[in-house]
Amino acid sequence: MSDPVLNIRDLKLAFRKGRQVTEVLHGISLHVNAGEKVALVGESGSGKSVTAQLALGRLQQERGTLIEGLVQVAGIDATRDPRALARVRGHRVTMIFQDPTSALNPVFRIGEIFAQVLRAGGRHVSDAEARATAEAALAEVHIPDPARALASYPFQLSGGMNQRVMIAMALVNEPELLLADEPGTALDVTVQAQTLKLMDEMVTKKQAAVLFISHNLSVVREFADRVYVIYRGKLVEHGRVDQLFGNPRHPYTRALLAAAPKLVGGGLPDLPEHEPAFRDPLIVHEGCGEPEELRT
Amino acid sequence: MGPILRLLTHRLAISLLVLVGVSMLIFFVARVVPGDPARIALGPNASQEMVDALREARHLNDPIIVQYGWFLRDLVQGDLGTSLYTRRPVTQDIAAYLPATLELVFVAGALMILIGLPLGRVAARYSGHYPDHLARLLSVLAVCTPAFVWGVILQLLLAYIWPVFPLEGRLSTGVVAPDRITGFYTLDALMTGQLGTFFDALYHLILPATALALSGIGQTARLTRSSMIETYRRPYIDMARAYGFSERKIARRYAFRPALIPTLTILGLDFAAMLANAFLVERVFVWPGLSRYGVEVILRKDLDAIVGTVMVIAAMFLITNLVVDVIVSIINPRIRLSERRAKS
Ligand SMILES: Nc1ncnc2c1ncn2[C@@H]1O[C@H](COP(=O)(O)OP(=O)(O)OP(=O)(O)O)[C@@H](O)[C@H]1O
Ligand SMILES: [Mg+2]
Repeated sequence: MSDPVLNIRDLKLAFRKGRQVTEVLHGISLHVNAGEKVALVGESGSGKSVTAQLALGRLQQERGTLIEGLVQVAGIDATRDPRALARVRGHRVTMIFQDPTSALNPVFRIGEIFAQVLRAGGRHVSDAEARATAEAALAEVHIPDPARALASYPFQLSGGMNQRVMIAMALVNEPELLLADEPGTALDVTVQAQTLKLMDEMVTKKQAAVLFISHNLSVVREFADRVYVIYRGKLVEHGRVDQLFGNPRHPYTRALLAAAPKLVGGGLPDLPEHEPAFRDPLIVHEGCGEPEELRT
Repeated sequence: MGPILRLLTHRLAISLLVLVGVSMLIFFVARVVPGDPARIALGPNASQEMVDALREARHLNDPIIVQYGWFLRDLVQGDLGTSLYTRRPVTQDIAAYLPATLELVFVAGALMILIGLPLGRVAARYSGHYPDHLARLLSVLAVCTPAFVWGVILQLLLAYIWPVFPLEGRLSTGVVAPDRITGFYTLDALMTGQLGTFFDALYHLILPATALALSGIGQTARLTRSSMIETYRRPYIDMARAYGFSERKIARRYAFRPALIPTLTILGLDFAAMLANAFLVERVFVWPGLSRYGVEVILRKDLDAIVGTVMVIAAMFLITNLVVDVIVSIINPRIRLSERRAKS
């Protein structure tokens, strides 16, 4: 088996503000293999977004962050070699956001933003080439009139259209890893479902690996191969989707599953009764151990 | 018709209405103030007959509303009346004095943009660090001190104690003003190829323009800073970084353009405010601009000249706002496109 495209080992993260240090990640390990769809699920504030940001190498450059452990993206050590990571952002590693409309700059045309994306990593792409590539990419995500969409400003398109644009941008450079942080949760439920399906179809087609972040287990079920459950900065359970849904072993996972329908738009209630269980070691389902060569 | 053109005509129409309103207001206010302009113009030694004749000739005995009618009739012919003080057409007087003021204000405006915007951008980039604190301190100082105080301070320090710059005037004694093309000495000197005169004129502009611009520079810097910091928190900046747009490109273009929108509107107001502040700065630097004329004609209750001067300043104000609106609508597609939707 080849190296995972995302490899996180014993990752600890803390924020320092003045004298006060808040630990946010307490040593998590996860990996995403090439072409694999992996979900990271947990309630609000559990540390999902910071994990994605670390994978993008974004938090490493900020002041007041204390980072321990390994974050390896496309073979690059994100903590030790932020410059190398900066060079692959936007083509080997890309991202899709919660609210597509606010993730697109309102004073630039879609086409201008798209051209910029195509030039990620300092590649030279002429305007004509950029337009042709962008049009083809938009057609691939079933946007009816690509030329017109490219000439539009983000606020002229619907949220669903912008999400399609975002998906096209994320995949146009054929990335190895796509980070999707609660994609489209800002959209209404049916549109969200449609665009998730589209994203699923597109990543399969482009053979990109995905780290899919969500607080909604039921969304994950249709999308992911494997699931990590995170609770307050610590992974509590890890397994294939069928294992996790068929036989959830950690009480927190069970609570998440039970609460699933209510989860849309809300968080979980506090689970003080699970505190003892929280100290338990990570529950790993059969066949979901770490890749052989990584165990040492 | 293009959306920008439509915006332009729309705003132009409104501006004209405002201008008529201003003219009415100043016309009546100027006349209500006590004092007989004819008597002031002719001096205490003139006979009552001469004063009466002048009053009759200038329609000063007619009811105010009729006088306003005369004024409007002349106005549509581009005639603002005749100054009782200089005895020349008001338009001619204004044409003589306005360029000096405009040149000063334009140079100050350029300083405001060229120094204020980058300063704010640097402050935002290093927000919370040393350069930011320094820039903020400078901005607050600049904003809180009136332009004429800056004028006096700069003049005292840089023209009197250390005579680096000239004390006053538009040109050194002995330097001949360039042939009039635009009335801006710098431009006219350049156009007629007199480099020496150009530098002399520029040299004389530096202190008064700086004095006039300082508070605008401070305000622009502060606004640009907060606007940039605010923009940097937007999700589209996260997106830009996630997609590997270079920090430089983000600072110069991707974050700068949206951040510019709120700044520009205020910048326009500052620019217009400089027209008013110019009056005091001109007095400090003995600048032969509209201020000298304006103060003089008000003291003499020179009716036509007062109305003319105020109207020209109001027109400058409106034009500035118009230009800013057009620029903002070019930068901000939301305005440009909603304008179109609203109209069609
Ligand atoms: N830049 C930061 N400085 C300080 N604390 C931070 C920062 N970013 C995140 N945190 C804290 O880290 C914790 C985890 O945040 P994170 O955004 O990863 O949560 P999340 O799981 O993505 O939640 P949500 O579902 O609400 O998006 C939170 O308690 C948050 O307050
Ligand atoms: Mg989050």
